[in-house]
Amino acid sequence: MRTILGCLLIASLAGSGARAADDRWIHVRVDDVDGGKGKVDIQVPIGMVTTLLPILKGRHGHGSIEIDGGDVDLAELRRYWAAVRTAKDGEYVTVRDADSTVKIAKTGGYFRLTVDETEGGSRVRMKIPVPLIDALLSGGDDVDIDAVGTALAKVPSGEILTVDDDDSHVRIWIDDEPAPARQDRP
Amino acid sequence: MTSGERLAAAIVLSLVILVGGSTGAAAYAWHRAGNVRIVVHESGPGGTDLSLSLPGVLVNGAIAIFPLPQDAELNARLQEVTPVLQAVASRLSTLPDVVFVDVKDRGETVRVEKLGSELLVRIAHAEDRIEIAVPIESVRRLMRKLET
Repeated sequence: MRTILGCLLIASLAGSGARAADDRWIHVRVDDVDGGKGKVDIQVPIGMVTTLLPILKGRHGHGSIEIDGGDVDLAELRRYWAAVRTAKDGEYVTVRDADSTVKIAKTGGYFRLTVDETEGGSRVRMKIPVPLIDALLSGGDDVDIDAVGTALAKVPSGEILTVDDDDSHVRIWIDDEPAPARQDRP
Repeated sequence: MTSGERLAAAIVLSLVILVGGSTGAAAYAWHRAGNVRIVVHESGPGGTDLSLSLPGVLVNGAIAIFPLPQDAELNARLQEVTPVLQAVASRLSTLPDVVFVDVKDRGETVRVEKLGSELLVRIAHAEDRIEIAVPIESVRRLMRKLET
C-alpha cells in the first residue's frame, strides 16, 4: 500500500507540471507478482491533475517529506541535492555490497537511480528530470508544487519510474493517449 | 376545400408540429441528461438489493430548485473546492471513454470510468456489487450551483 501511495504522490507531483501539455496522460501501473493477481491501473490527464492540485496544496510537504516510513528533513535534502546538482554528468556514486548494487548518476539532464539486488533479482530504475527536482526543492519550508508543475511542463513524455521487486512491478510514465483497460491475467 | 376547412387543417397541422416538436425536444433533453443509477447488491441473508434509476432531467431540475444549506463552515470549504471540481467536470465531458482507475485485489475490484456522458463507479467483491452512474452534466450543474 505504501508503494502505491508513494507512486500516487510521485504521479500527482509529476502530473502537476505539464500545464503547457494538458492533453498528455500520466499513467501509474502496479502489478502484484507475489503469487497474487492484484493490479492497480490509474491514468489521468495531466491537465486534470493540475486542476485538482489546489485542493491538495498546502497539505503535504511541510518541512519534511516521508520516505519509507521515516521523515526526511527538506533542508537536509536540499543540501544533498545542491552537492549532486553541481557535480559533472556521470556516474558518481556506486555502492556494491553482498546484497545489492546501488548506482546514482546524473546524465542528460536526468537524475538516475538504479538498484539491483543480488538475491531475488529486485531492481529499481528511477529517472527524474533535474529541473523537476530543482523545482521540488526550491520552496521555503514547503514543497513548491507550482514550481514542480512549471518544471514538468518541459519534460518529454516517457518513463519516469520503474520498480521491479519480489512483490510488485511498478511503472509510472507519461504519454499522449490513455491506455485501454487491461484484460485480467489468467 | 372551403376556407373554413383550410383554416381547420392549418390549425391541426400547427398543433401536430407543436406537440411533435415539443415531444421530440423533451425526448432529446431526457436522453441527453442521462440517468443517475445506483445499484447495490449484497449477498447472503438480509442482504440489500437496491436498484434506483433517476432521470437526469429530474436530478438537474432538483439541483436548480432546491435551496442549499446555509452553513458558514461548509460554504467556506465549498468555495475552495467547487471551482476545482467544476473545472474537472468540464474537462471530463471533453474526454473520450476511458478507465481512470482499475484496481483488483484479493477478489475485490474497483473501477472508475467515463462511459459516454456518464461517470461510472463500480465496486465488486465476491457476490456483492455497488454500481453508481452519474451524468457528468448533472455534476457540472451541481458544482455551478454550489459555486454560486
